[in-house]
Amino acid sequence: MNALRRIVRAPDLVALVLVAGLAPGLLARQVATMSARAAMGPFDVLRDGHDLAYLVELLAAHPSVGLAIAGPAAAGGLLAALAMLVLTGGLVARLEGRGGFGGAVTGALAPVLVQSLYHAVLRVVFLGLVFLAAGPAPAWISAASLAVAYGLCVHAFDVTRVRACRAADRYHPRLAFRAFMDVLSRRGLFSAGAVALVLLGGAAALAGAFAGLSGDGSAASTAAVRMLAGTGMFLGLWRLSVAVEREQPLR
Amino acid sequence: MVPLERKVASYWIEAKLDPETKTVLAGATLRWKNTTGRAVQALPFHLYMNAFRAEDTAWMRSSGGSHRGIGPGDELDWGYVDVRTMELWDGEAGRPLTYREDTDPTLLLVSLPSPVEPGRTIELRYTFETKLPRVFARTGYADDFFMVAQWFPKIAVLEEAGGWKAHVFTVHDEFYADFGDYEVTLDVPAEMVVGHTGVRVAESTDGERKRLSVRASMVHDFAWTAYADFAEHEGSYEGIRIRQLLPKDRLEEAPAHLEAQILALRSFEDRYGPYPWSTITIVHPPPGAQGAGGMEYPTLYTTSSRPQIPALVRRFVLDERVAGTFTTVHEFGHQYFQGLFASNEHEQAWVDEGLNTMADLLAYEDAYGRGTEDDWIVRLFGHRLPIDAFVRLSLGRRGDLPVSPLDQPASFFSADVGDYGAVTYSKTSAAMLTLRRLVGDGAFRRAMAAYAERARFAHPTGDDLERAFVDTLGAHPPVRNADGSEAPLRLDLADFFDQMRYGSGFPDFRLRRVENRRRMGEAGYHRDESGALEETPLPDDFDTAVFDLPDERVEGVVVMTRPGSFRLPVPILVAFADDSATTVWWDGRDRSKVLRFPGKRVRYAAIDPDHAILLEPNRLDNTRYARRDDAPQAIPAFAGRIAEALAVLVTVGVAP
Repeated sequence: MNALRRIVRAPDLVALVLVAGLAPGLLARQVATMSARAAMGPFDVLRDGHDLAYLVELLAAHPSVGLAIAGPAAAGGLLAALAMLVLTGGLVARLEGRGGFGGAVTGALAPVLVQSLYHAVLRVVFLGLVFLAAGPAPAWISAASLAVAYGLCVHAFDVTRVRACRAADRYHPRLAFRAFMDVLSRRGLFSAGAVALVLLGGAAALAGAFAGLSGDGSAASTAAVRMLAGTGMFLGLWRLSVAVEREQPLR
Repeated sequence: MVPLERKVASYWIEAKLDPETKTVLAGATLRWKNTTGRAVQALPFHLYMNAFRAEDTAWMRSSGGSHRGIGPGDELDWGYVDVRTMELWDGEAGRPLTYREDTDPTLLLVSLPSPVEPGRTIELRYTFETKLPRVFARTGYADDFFMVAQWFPKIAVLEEAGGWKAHVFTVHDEFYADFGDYEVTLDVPAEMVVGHTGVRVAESTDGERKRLSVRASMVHDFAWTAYADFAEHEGSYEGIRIRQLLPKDRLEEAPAHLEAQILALRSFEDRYGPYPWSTITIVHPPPGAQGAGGMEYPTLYTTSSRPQIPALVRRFVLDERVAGTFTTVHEFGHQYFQGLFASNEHEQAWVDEGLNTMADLLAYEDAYGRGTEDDWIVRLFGHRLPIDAFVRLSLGRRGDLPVSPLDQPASFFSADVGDYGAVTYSKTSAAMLTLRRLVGDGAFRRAMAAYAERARFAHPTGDDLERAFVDTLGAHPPVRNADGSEAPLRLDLADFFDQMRYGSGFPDFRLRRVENRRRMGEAGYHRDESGALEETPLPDDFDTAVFDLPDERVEGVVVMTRPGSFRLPVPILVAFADDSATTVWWDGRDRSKVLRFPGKRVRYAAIDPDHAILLEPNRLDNTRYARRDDAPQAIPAFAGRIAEALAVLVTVGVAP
């Protein structure tokens, strides 16, 4: 629970990740709504259970509305993800109880980005091997294996990022490699917890998307989407905190 | 009752399949009766299989070498039917006849030594070899699967008024033949599982071969399939045997297709009379033979696969009733629309394809209801695409709607224009379902039942359909409201059918203006009784904004236009600010219509609020609010929700 304690001690981080999690959605919603409204012109439709048909008709007549739906959603999400990557140094510093958020960000930026590339290669290789090994198994075993492997990859990435903030050899590929091997070879409570948080975060993302896509636009369904998005982002921060705790346990 | 006078062409065929050479060697006896008042000196035959004989046949040229997007690829293997002998049989001996292929090899002309007089029956005996093509267009083989269809020389139809109906086979053409009885013996490898038109009356095995004796009564074609890896699934409905032949690894699909088959049988029997045969065989072509899928033959049809979607995904994410099961309903529907109502598919493809599509959609409506929670063709994240909407959307989108007229020979449709399907299937069904909404389901049922009664075991035409409606409903039946009550309008059936059959337009209505104005009063100069000009002063509220005027000083105005060329009556719902509403019918004949409501403040207006006009492709301009800020903007909000959900998925799912 030390990882959670680190987060509780840094409420500003929680606020930051919640903003990063919710802002792209709110922005994408506004863009899509305005685009569809412009395409509809002065017209409207009756609430007669044909919403999906009307939307299909609108998208067929105005393909730009489709772009306005998918484009900002994807771009906003990816930008938020990139921002969280760029901010790694500051996040780790705050979780470690250190100050100097800005300086930590700039200090760690280059090594974190370089190690991210090394990690990406290792991740592709590892997931590829798991895929090949689990492929012949029944579908659910195969899917579960891939999910756990993915969780381990994410945890390995978190450990890599944390080490990249302070290690001496922080541009060397062995940093990413050792982080990967440490996570795979010492599968303790940290790894299990991190994998669980990854899977829970993924579930929150899927549940949030599902609530949004299947919702009826009521205040309750909108609130559910945003709560799930916030929960997912919080779980992501917790996961990073687990990596910090793994590298430097609180006394 | 089977009208025996309509038995014109009966066949006795002995066929032997050679799976190595992909050929069928056969001998046939045809007994043909001249039921017309004209004598004939020559007999045209269809050799449909010759469509696949060479690149320069009419079929290959018109198709560009592919069918429904499926081509033979690099495994092209030609097919043909080669008539080896042809004799006129007089009961004791045969007289060789001369015969020659037409310019296109899908037609053969047999010369007779003497005319066949009206009412006379003749018997021809002939032998032929059919080489099956690698299947990509209904018939042929794929590895050791065989779909043997349109495989034997088949006499054309002699019509009293029109003479011989023998068309060159092109890509959009299908078939046309007379009813008769078929007795067929099939000689196949013993391990083959065989499906066929009609019922099996005997089967014997001799070493590595087996012989099946099959009979089919009052049908106009005979097709069969053979494949060693078929699994069989049996079902029944009201004594009708439903036999499915599926690749063994797809056996789990059978219950869904059986359910679709039964819902179709229930609806078709209820609407168009009893299914006249005792059996139906559903063939599921194996992988690699998809080109054989989705085709009908008497008492046998081929269907397509349902996508393998996990149950949880079907429940919560995406479910559909299109792939596979709709094919089953549609191909079964052809047992009526063409199998039983044997229209000329070359001259009027819409009479079977279009009316059948209409009947399929009605079968869905009969099974799942209309406006109910179960009324959907596709369900995506819980959002339903209702059957009505599916009909409308299948027409195409504004700016890219089909342009060819409906009632023309199939070969007149250009494959390059590519609107044969949208016109023949979608436009016909949408037009007929629109007609149903306008005249009411009860009247429509009666008219279609009358058509079905006349068309049974006959060769109905589009004129017969129109006549059945006029005879049943009168030339100008009343238009009905959504609740079934009579609207103050009548529909000109001849005009409707003319536009549907020979026009290329669609209905399209638009709400040009919905607004509230200050009601005009009597201010200004008027002459009094003495002839002098007398001024009536402006009212005190002359400069008051319309929004602030009391309702009695306001006039609601609704202006509709008809950009589309198709004329038909349409209802308009007008809702007022005082929560009252009224429905007004517009006969749709002029290009525009203005409605004025003195003393009433209009909140919004909606053209065709109950989705009666399924033939209208563009509905996004059918509803308009007087004030934009009062409009619910449901679709922009829907788009916004989707965007936010996608952003959540990307942000939370990808955030490191």
